[in-house]
Amino acid sequence: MSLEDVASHSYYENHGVVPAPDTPLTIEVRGRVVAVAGTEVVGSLPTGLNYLARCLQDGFRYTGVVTASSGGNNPQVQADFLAG
Amino acid sequence: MPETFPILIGEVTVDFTMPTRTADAKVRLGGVVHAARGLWASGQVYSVGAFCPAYLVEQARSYLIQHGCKEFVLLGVVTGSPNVIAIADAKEVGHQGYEDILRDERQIIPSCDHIDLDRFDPIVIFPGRYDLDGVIKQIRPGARVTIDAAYDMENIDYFLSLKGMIDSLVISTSSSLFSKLASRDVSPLLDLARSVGAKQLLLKENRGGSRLFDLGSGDIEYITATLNVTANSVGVGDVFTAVFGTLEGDSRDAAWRGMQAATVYSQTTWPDDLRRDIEREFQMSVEVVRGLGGSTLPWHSRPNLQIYLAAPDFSYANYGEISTAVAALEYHNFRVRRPVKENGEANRDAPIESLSTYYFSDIQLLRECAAVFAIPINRDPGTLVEIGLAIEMGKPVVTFDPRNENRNTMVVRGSSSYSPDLDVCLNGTFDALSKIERGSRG
Repeated sequence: MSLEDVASHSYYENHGVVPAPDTPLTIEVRGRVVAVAGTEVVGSLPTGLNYLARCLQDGFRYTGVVTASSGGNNPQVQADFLAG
Repeated sequence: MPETFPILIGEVTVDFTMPTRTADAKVRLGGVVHAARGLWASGQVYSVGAFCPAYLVEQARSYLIQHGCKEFVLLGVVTGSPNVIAIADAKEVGHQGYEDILRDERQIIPSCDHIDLDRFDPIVIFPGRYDLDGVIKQIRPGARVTIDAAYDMENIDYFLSLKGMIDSLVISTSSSLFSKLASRDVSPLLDLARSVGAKQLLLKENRGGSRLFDLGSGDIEYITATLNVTANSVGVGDVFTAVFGTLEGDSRDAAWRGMQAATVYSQTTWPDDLRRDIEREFQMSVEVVRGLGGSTLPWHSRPNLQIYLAAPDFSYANYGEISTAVAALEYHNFRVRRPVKENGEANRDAPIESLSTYYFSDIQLLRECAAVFAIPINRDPGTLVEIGLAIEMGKPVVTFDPRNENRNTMVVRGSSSYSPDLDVCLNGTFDALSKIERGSRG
């Protein structure tokens, strides 16, 4: 999936670059449902996946990786996740 | 004071969703039963005041009692019509194409028995062909009354006669009253709601979310829509209204809970799944839900975010997919700019040097639009070039590929949304334009 608003989240703001492919990610609710690398937010998940907020609340956990990323004027990050 | 319970008042129908090439037919109890399912799944005890054809009474009573209904009150019997609604488009991609069979023959005979509605509060009314006055006269003075003006409420003078009796007015952008009064400007609707003494107006704007107007303070709460795969949109608005109208406490919170229940209702037609998912939804606090984000694209903002139609929209080609997509976008109040219709169409053997005028005019139109809706049927080269130009301009491109002809890396990844399914592309359009609109609102 494509993460949203990458340029305005803490990972890009702190490093000035997008995370490289294979960077490990988790999913958390920080206002929006977001993908997190370490402690920094990489991007928001599409709001069609808002139901993950209730799954997280129920105790489900999700891990994933960056599958592709590109910088420039419109930084973009693709990610894949699995439950467990 | 004796304990009171919520009651839902409306007609019971049979909703028959017609089969399509990809989906089986679906038959279920509809009308006020949609609202009842929503309350049952939300864990609420409620009653139903029903207007129902005689052949459905026992079935409806039994079904509702099994789904949380404390008391089934037969307010009247429908004659002359089976109260069967045939539904062509269950996802409301465009106009739903409701066929209310034998609607002009319908008569409603009020129940002969005196019915005491004094013990019910709050009250949620879904108007129909029945005598609304007769119902309202039986309501306990001071009861909290919510009216969903979806159907049979076009008469504004009649509305005004209800002054002082309505707490909340709920209306959808697909209702005839909205079309008549407020399709261009919401102010006349707000004025009407104030005139009848309503405290709030909830405007349900389909995939663009909802707005809750506090008519006292003037505050507006923007309720997001969560766009996902729609299983069936029939009755979704009724569930929203029922939860909003019956929850105790803050009306803003009730509107958010209504949205959550309605969203789940749109995603399944199986009652047990509905109940499980709504229970899980309601475990999140309203503040968490408010922070999750979603689509907010008010009806009246949509025409300002013009959409460029990139498609082989030529007079000599008659592609049904293009007209269906344009009709769906216009149904949702988007302004679709059609370059071929607006700037003219070059003759197929016109000299090359004569094409510049069309090219520059189309490029200018593309620059003026907020987004592109592309339908690259037959891999039309002009459409594919327009997709590329829009991507480079930073405009969102929604690509509807009904014939699966363009599963190309640059087309798929360059588009903010790509699908052969118009429903998905419509969601993509709302999502993309919602982000632009939110950015302009600050």
